[in-house]
Amino acid sequence: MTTAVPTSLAGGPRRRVWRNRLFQLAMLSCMFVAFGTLALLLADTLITGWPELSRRLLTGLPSTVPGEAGARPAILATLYLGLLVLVFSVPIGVLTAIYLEEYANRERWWNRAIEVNIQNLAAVPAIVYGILGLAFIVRGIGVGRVVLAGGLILTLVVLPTVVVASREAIRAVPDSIRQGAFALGATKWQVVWRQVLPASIPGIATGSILALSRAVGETAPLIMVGAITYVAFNPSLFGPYTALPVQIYNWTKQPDPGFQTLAAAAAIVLLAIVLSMNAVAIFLRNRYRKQW
Amino acid sequence: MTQMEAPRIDSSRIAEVSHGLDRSEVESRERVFSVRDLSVAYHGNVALENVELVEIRRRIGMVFQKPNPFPKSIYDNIAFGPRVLGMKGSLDERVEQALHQAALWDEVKDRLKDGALGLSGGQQQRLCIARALAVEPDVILMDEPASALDPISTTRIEDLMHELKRDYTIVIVTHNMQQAARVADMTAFFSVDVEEDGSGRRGILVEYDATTKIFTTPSDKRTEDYVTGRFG
Amino acid sequence: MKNVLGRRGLAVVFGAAACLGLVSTAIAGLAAGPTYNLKKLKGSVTADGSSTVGPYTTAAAELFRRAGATGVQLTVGISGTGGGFQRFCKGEIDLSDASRPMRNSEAAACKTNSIGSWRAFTVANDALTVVVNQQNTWARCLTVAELKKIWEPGSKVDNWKDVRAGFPDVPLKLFGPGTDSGTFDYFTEAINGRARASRSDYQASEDDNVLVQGVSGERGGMAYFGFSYFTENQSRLNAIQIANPKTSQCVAPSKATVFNNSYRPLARPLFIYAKGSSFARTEVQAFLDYIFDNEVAIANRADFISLTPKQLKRARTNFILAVKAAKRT
Repeated sequence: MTTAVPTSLAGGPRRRVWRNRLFQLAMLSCMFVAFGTLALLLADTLITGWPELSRRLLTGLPSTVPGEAGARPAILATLYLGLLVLVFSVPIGVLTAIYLEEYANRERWWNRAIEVNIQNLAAVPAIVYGILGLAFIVRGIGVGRVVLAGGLILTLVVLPTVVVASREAIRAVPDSIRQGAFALGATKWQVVWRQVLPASIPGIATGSILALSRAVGETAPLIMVGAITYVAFNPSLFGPYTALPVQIYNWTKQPDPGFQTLAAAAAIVLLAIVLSMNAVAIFLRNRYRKQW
Repeated sequence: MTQMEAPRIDSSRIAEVSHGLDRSEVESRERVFSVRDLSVAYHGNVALENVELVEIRRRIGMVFQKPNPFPKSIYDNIAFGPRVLGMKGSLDERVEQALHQAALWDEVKDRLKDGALGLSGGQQQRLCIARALAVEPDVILMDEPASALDPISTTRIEDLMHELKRDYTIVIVTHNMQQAARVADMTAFFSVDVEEDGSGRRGILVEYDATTKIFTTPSDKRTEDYVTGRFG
Repeated sequence: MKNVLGRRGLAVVFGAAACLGLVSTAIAGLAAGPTYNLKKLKGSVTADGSSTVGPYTTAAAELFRRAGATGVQLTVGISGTGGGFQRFCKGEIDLSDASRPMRNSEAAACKTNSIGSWRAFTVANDALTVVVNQQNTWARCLTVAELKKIWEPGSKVDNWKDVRAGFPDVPLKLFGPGTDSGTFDYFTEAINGRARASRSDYQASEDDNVLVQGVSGERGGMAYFGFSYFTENQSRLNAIQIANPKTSQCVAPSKATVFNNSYRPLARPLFIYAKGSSFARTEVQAFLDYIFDNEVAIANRADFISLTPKQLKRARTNFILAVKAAKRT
């Protein structure tokens, strides 16, 4: 403060200023708790796993001896699962979102019921989908414990999230764009397909990729539907598989402490996969960001 | 409501346009596009039910109060209409012609692939007019097309209307009486009536005549009160 | 451009789906022979079950592959002994890893699902090991009766001084495996006299590493698990000697004491169950044949105690009978 400020102004609001600062401090410390825990976890994993982060881990086959073990089948299967989830969840999720946002009549009770259901499904624990998948996909329609079944179940897990994210993105497209397109004589389908959908792609892409990175990290439903732990060959769509999170989980349970470090190293790989997906999401969002 | 040169709209039927026409209703999206409450006399027919709304919208071009270009390139903004309607002929020529008609060509001809959202407000509004022209409408409806623009841009839009009225019927809605006096050949004055049974307000057509007559010797008292500034 | 983006996105997606469509096919082998040409084998063998036996089967699969059987797709799951039998009796898998024999109720399920015959092979030995904290200087050797006093249903023993007169006043903290594990079944049967009868007020975990950590951090801690978890954590834990009920001699768990049959009653055999119909496939035969030919190497690799000569001979005979039976049908 300069001396030009009258004393009456400098002295008065001291208490309020202090409260203001106190609140800022409280917020800052909350952020540190959240961020610090994450940073600690990351640092611990990185320090533990770094020495084992080798080419063998990426290209080798699993083994009972930690010094010889790699995770290639698990890494590949995780990438396949991610692709499958993308192939299934994005078209279904986006079309559902379009229906709910652009076509569904909110006055009808069944449309409201669908909406509430989707919101709730997004909060259902993944293991429940695992049980469902085991009963209906693996055994029910007899897909078996194969990559395709895993992909379908993970699709179920993330579908509600994709729908919710896509709806948000579609809702964010201003009505003036729809009106402008309608005014030129476009049909509803043309308005949705050629204006609303392209305009909401950044939001849809971001939401879908974030959902995808969740799917890639899921363990519980995959254990339910038999992502087997020893697989010494590259996975195929209709073949048995193991996924990276399952491999990590299995390694942490091994008696030999060498596997603990291996698990940490594999966790770094998984982290790298998830983070690069998120990076793509951020890139897409920035690349196609629209102003209206 | 102001109207310029209405050779193709049956003026004896214009009163029917008034039915249910309320400003707030006009602005609400559903009404504008369903047109159902708005029995429009169009080519002598009252457009009510059983009309192909898509076709009506194609033939009646619409320019909105706030410029609403699509978040696409300038070229794609104009080309959208012809594309969705499957219009024959060279798209490039059509785009160029529409931009010429909207007096925008010289300003944008070197950056047709640039985003339309990078244009100024006035340019955006002329782009929207060009977009409407590209589908060859019979009538162009302009809903306060200059109310969100600065005076210089407003002048350009008004000049453009004078250009366009040679080829098109333009219906413009405005609250700006000077603007109505400047651009319109024919003017209709609308007001609202409060229903006696309290069921709401209802738009009514008060008077429809040549612009000079409306502004100098209106035959209705309410019109006179409005144009002389006694209310509104 | 208008919707180029949308279309390109779809194209990428479908292209990728087409790539995934390359499906590996399993081709069953033909005639069975006494010796197998591993390099020519094709097909798949699926195993699931006990997490204790899992590493053994995994090690066997690894060595089998290294010996040349790269054409055989071997998978090993660890759904637990019970989970493995469940799948086995649904006919979903060829081999079921088990750390205890099949129960009557499980065998009944196998029969109702008519998966045909099956055979149990003893493939390795394990010494269930009772461990305590390294600061525990008093408990070197315990009798079965003392262990029973601690672990029997309804037991209220919560201090070492109550285990045996002369033990110090240190709180007893118990850790044990979850009730789904074969280890739990075996230990309760051997110590408490009845399978699955146990006190339940102890800290249970399916993850043996949690038990290791619990005991190593608790002066009065005690737990039991498979021998390999002890050998890998010898520097953090002490293994208790068990008084042999017949000789009353204190015997420490080790490969030697299991082998000479003196570590009783906690030495246990580990099994692989095989579906009778799976023996019709050469790759399954060859895999089991490989196991019995290389028993010691596999056991050493996965830190198991190998079969005694007598056990191995019986397993071999059993195997040959199974192959013959498969040939007849």
